[in-house]
Amino acid sequence: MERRMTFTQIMWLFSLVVLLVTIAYPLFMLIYKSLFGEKGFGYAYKVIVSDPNTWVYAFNTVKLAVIVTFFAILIGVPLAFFVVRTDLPGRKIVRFLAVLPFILPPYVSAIAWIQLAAPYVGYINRIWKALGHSGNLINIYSFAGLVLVMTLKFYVYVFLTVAAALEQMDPSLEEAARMSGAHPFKVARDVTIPLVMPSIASGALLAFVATCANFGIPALIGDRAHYYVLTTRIYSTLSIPDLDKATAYSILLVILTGVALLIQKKSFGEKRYTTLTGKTVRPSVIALGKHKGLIALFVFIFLALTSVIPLFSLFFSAFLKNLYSPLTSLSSFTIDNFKFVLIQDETTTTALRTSIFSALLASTIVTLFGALLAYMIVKTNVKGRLFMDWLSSVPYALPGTVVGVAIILAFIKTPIFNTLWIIPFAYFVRYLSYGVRTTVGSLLQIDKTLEEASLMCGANWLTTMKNIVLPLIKPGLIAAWILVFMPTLSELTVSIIIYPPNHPTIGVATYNLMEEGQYTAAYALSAVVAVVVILAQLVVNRITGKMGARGL
Amino acid sequence: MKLAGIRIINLVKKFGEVTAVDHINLDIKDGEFMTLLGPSGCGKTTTLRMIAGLEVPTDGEIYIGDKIVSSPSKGIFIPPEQRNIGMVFQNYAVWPHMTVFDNVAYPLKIRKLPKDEIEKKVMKALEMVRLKGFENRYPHQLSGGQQQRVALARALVMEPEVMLLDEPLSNLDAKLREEMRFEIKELQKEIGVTIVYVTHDQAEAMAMSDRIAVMDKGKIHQIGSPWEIYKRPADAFVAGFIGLANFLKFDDARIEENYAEVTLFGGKVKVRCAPPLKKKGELVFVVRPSEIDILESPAENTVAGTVKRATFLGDIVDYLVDVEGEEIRVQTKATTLYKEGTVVYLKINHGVLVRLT
Ligand SMILES: Nc1ncnc2c1ncn2[C@@H]1O[C@H](COP(=O)(O)OP(=O)(O)OP(=O)(O)O)[C@@H](O)[C@H]1O
Ligand SMILES: [Mg+2]
Repeated sequence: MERRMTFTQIMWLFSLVVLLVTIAYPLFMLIYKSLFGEKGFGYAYKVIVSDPNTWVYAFNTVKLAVIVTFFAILIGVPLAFFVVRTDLPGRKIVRFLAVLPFILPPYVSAIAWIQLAAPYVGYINRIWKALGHSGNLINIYSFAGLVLVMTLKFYVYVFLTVAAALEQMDPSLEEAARMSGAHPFKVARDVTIPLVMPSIASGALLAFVATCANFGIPALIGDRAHYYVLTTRIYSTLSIPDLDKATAYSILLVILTGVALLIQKKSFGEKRYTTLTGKTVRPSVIALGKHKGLIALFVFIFLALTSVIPLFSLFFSAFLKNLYSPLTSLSSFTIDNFKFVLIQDETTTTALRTSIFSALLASTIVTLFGALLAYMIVKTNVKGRLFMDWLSSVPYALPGTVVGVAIILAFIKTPIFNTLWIIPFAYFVRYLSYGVRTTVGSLLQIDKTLEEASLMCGANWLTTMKNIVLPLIKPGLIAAWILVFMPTLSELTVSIIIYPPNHPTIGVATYNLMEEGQYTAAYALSAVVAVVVILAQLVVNRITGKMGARGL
Repeated sequence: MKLAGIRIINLVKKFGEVTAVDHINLDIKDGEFMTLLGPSGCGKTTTLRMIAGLEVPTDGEIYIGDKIVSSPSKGIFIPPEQRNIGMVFQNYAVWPHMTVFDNVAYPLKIRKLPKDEIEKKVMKALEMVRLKGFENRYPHQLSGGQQQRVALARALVMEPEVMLLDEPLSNLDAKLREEMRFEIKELQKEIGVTIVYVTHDQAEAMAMSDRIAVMDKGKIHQIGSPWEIYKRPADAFVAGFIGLANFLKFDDARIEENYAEVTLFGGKVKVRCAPPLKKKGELVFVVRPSEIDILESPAENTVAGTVKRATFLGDIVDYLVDVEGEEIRVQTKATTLYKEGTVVYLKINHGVLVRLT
């Protein structure tokens, strides 16, 4: 027992130092530099307050997020209802297809939609033209295009939270309303919707914050539509470079998302209805009756258009010789794009190596350090463990762009900056929360008595860890590793801010290919990323037994 | 208040391969308190939910009053909201986002009653369940028993012809449960509504019901008053489910119109008992532990046995007595305590012949 105490103390000190250096210090620097920048006290704030553009970008961000959230609710709520509470055929497939776009990196979704709906060269517009129309049916480089891509990405937040709430709701609450004489529509109005309202609100908040914080989609689509939001402005301000201004924008972005959080807490914080009963609930399933076929058709067409076709046409495009090749001729297709990005091009091959290396390193360290933190949080009562828990979760709650800026501010003058190591380091900071949360989850399921039983049997602490605790949390550790590996492999938002010039990542390389107009190469690289991510997600599903556990 | 009986004819409900309710027939009279009693999973809730219209029957017919509400073969299915049935769910199902008043007022609001009338009726219902003064509370500010009474008031307020209660007391503690038993029974007497009550607690069923339908594996084994069910069980299942019972093999039985006589233990004991309700099939002799006396010394019509276990329960003593290799459970008043190993003499006072299956 004596040895365990000292061991715990060493680990405690180690963890605290790591967290303070890697997380607390950058966050502190962000706030500090916004006040005491290079051009004097409060300069950054003076600049942003006096610059009318600031308010345009802030307004653009909020406007986009509000509209995306509105449509996310409009799609997510009914879809969740149909999947959970009706006899819609193929509900498992619907769930899978709805979550599919969500597991892709946002910039891959953006690219998928660009090749589908870009003016003149997008398939939709080419078909439109072939049908004898002139002009474009849809231009993805527009505000509407931005809303479309972001909505289809982020409605999943609403869908998943509402679906979970509906699944857990006690069906007798609705049945009681029917027994009271209410028609199913009135039951929905008076009972179901009010009860899932808090879940709609938290799903909507997630969608709102995700839209505000997203970089990939507004960078690839918004900029060409001349619709600028805070994340893309932070990036371009950094390339001037005007660090003070970027810092000030970052603070503004944090305030925006923080306010959204406050509003949600204020209006729904207390209304979390616990409608769970001890019994396993069997959600009552409504028969769609004669409308079943029509509704199913509608849902599947929607999912085909939003989830399947963009992905498939992305794979298709990845084999195109160039954007203008006629689609009817077999000679238009080639595997050269894949050869180019995977073997020939020096930038993309470097990027592949950089990303694989960084993702491997980051996910391994996050898993190990996350497990250590989780152990202290759950199994010990050391001082400050709740603070450590909270601190480790902050970088994931903040927009990635802001985390990137904070890391620049904190480490620009250190030797690791401008080296390859800054990338895995940044990923560690950003994704530590995944490691902690996942392992906390599995540790909570281990009853204290299991460990005590082993100690009683005469095993010492290390043997107990090895024989009892580790085997029990192993699936959790593996899941945590993959959960970090997947997004870091294709990370764009943080990478593009901190990457050293000679070490682009896959995300950065893809973005640059799009900017340089090397579209088919970008499609090929995106297709590779999409395949890897989907395969990894299938592995995670196997382990955790649940789709879309990521980030929720 | 309008009253209506319920008639269930050959009702069947299948969930895929599972037959939850298997051709049951039940005739419930106006204003009757009918209890469905049976072990877990026997199909009580499913039956109740089919009466309510929350479950669509696979086959058979349900009448409420003289109106047919459910008949798959005739293509009739009246949805629950049109059946005017009050229902109290096992877990209350009180809406957490509405006050007590709004919960109880809901059925009346749906029926678009004028405001002052709603107010009057809600207050009356709340008074009936003794919840006056709680109108503005939210469910989470109420105890389990109070929530339960909100659910009851909500079912009562619409003045239904029929009320269905699914194990409404199972989440309450023992004391409150007894109180509520009494209250529900009183209420029913007061307003005279037809009640179908579901429980797997036989004491609850005995205390409240006019008649009990004993169910097992989707089938009804017996329908009768609590007295009949206890005193004249139709078969071994009912005898074993209601109260404690010894099942004894007998040597010979003489069955008359109004009584029967069985000979047990190689002719040493003869007991006059109730004749079987249905004479067909293999019979078994059922004796309640309380219908046996323990004597210290041999007497006429007794059989010797050895006390294997004696448990002192306060006012009674529970014995297990070995009689010629058969274990017989006996409960007597705690006047004497026979130690384990003592040889005693059993006198069987009464019993009943029932069908084995
Ligand atoms: N929706 C359903 N789907 C499949 N099987 C069901 C469903 N509802 C009930 N069953 C099955 O039907 C049988 C009867 O269930 P029911 O709920 O009526 O039992 P019960 O008598 O009310 O039991 P309890 O006392 O435990 O509430 C059980 O075997 C149950 O598993
Ligand atoms: Mg039941």
